[in-house]
Amino acid sequence: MMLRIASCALAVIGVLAFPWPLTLVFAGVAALFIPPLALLFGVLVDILYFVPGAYPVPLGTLLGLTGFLIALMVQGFMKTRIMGA
Amino acid sequence: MKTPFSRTRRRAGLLSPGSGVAIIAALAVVVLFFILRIFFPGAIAGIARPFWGTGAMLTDASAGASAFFGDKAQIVRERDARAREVVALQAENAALLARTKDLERLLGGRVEPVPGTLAGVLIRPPVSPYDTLVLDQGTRGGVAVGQQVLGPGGLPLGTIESVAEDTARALLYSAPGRMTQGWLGEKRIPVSLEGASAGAFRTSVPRESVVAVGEPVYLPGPGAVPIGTVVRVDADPSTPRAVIHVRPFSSPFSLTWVTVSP
Repeated sequence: MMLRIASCALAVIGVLAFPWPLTLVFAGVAALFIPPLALLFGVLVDILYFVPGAYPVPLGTLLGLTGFLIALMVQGFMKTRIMGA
Repeated sequence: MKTPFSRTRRRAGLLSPGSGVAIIAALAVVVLFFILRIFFPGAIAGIARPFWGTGAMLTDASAGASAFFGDKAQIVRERDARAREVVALQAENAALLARTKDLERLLGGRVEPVPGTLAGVLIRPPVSPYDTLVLDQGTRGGVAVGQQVLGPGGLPLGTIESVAEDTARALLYSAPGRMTQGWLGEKRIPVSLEGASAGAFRTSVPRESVVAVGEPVYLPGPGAVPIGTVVRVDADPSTPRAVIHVRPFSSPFSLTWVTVSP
């Protein structure tokens, strides 16, 4: 539980204060516990920092969406493995 | 009779049953965020601003605490400050030298200082992933889309791309893939500079052009303003063009104040 809260808090702080590769790691860890957080952090990054000329598409949202789907699959897979054991 | 082999396992899909609700909830929040960004562009930046300020304050405080515990840290801090000062002075010196040369050629060109708005940098790379700066001046301070952002010594850094009432976002010329026209070397060879992130640039010239490491690279500002030097020339005999790598005078990681020029 503590790890879950800590990873979420670090990811939120990271979006506002940490270098983005570190934030990516924290968001990835947080998404393993709560998958939609990956998408939310991606969107938050785009809302705060994206400008139209920076990239053809909002990369944060796309990465967040990808992370969200991967986290959902990982979580589903882990639940299945635990139930089957 | 039940045996360990008669137990039927439910074959779960890749997504768990509660995933649909989570996806819908997440999409709803995404749509809400985008509506906020489109119709109230300054709202989220306004909310984030105190946190950005706190982050900067914590960074300063941690640097102060480390200095308190040892003289070595203090010396390192002072050395870093001097190094930043030297970089700024070098850039200013190079800019003045280039301007003097231009004026000597033109005789009678404009020499008045460029007016502008001084803005504090709230967020810089590597916190912002797109090579953008978030500034603490917006429409209220006279900042508008398209204005040029100048760093220490008048270095051209980028342009304003989005403005709210009290904040603005500037996209650096070094943003990955951004193309900017500039000049290379004392002969001022016109080149297209491609942003390579973190203040660096890349460009290419015909292999026959003689470009040496250490030659200055210029961007249009008030005249031709030197922004960095050539650090590497990759001349592959199998290709007709040589790739030039440019390192900036001023790192965007350490920007604290900029001038927004109309």
